[in-house]
Amino acid sequence: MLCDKCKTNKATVHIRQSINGTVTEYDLCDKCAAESEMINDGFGFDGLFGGFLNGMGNTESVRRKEGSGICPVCGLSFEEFINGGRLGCPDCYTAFGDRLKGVLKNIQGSTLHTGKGSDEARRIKTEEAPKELTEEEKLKNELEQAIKAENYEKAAEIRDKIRALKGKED
Amino acid sequence: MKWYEDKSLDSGVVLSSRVRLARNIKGFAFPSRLGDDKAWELVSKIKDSVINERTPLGASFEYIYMPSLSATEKLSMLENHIVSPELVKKQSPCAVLANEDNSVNILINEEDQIRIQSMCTGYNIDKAWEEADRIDNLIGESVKYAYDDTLGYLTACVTNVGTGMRASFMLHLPMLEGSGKMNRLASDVGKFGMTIRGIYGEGSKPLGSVYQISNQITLGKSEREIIENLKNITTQIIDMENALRERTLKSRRIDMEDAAYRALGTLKYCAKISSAEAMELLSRVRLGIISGIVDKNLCKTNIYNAMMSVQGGNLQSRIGHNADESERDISRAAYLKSIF
Ligand SMILES: [Zn+2]
Ligand SMILES: [Zn+2]
Repeated sequence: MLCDKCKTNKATVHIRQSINGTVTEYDLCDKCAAESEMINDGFGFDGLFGGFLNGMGNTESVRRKEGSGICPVCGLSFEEFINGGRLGCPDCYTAFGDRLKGVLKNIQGSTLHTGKGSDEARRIKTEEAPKELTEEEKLKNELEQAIKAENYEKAAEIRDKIRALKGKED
Repeated sequence: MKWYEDKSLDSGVVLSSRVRLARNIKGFAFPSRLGDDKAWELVSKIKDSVINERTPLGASFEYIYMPSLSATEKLSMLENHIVSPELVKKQSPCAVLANEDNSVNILINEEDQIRIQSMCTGYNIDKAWEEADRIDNLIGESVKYAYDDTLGYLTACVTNVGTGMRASFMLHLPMLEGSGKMNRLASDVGKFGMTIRGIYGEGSKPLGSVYQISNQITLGKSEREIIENLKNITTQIIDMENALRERTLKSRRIDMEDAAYRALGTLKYCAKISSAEAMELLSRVRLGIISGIVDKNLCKTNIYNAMMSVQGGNLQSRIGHNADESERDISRAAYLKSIF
């Protein structure tokens, strides 16, 4: 049997994909199977990740196709992450997006940090020391947030507001 | 004096408290995908963030470049819980910044680029957290951490993301272990997002009845919440261990005295001893001390320190050359004679 994709090499991998109950089957050669995103999700989930991710794949253990699955910064693929259990760089968190969120939900039971440095931590801190922020202080905080989020348009807007406010005082 | 040599340590179930924070720097890959050049860059960057003229704190830290240590020195650092097995195996640039009494260690290029470890004797997790937090802030002043507004501190393993914090207690639980309750306890503790495991030995029964309990969840809860949860669970374990001990002291005091003094006798007068046997006997003596059966002044150091000292690598350091097993057993007995 020839590979369904390249129609050249001998098919060696049989893939069964189930999307919303519709089952599609493919026969691919090694090369195409490796290139394809539809590689078995169930491999390599042993060791550290054994059991953690069971809730993710369906019984046929078929990979869902989402994004490129490769981190543009460090080159780690989602498969490599699953097999090795380790991410390659901080940007992998963005690159693997929702699929990683699914993993986090399974392992951590949450996808929102509420500890050190978080808005939640800041909120608790201000509650502990209740202090009315002036309009200017509020805007300055907003400005800081906007710059942090690299939203420079908004930052410029806020900066102008602060200037206007200062003008009034004079 | 190292933090673990403090004799006031031998007072109860909790041997030590520890907080570990995992951190990485924005713009650098995690160590497993970091080339040697970048790894070097990180080592010096992080070193400079701690040891510099701007902060008086830096003066108390010593810089240790791991690949330049001998195998024995590495093993000894491992047994003193300063470094992890991961750091010991590494060939690429990695280092440790350790303060004078080794209570704070900063591991560079382990699984994460930065791991801040803070350890205290006894039940002192708050102090351990405050120290780790302080060092974290200090490093954070000179580097930009990989931090996501939603996910918190980004780490190489998703089991650490968020707070990046692992808080733990080292516990001595001979009574709970002896009554066969450890498996049940482990599964109960798991329901609260914690894990408990033996520290020494690879067999089914951990050596010396020394266990570590730590949080498993690092995301969705604040550092304070995690520590409070850990304290709550640990307090219950301490109560269970104490209750069992009190009960046994009432019903079978003579058996406990017999076990403790036989152990003491062997430790003091043996001419050679394996680490497994030494650990078991030290555990019995420690139980005797806590129970008020054995006078704690009969031992020149605290038992937890002795437990660390009878491990192979630490002994090897003391012997000073590569010793074989029987030589180590003899040297271990000599060490024990010197402390009892
Ligand atoms: Zn093909
Ligand atoms: Zn990456």
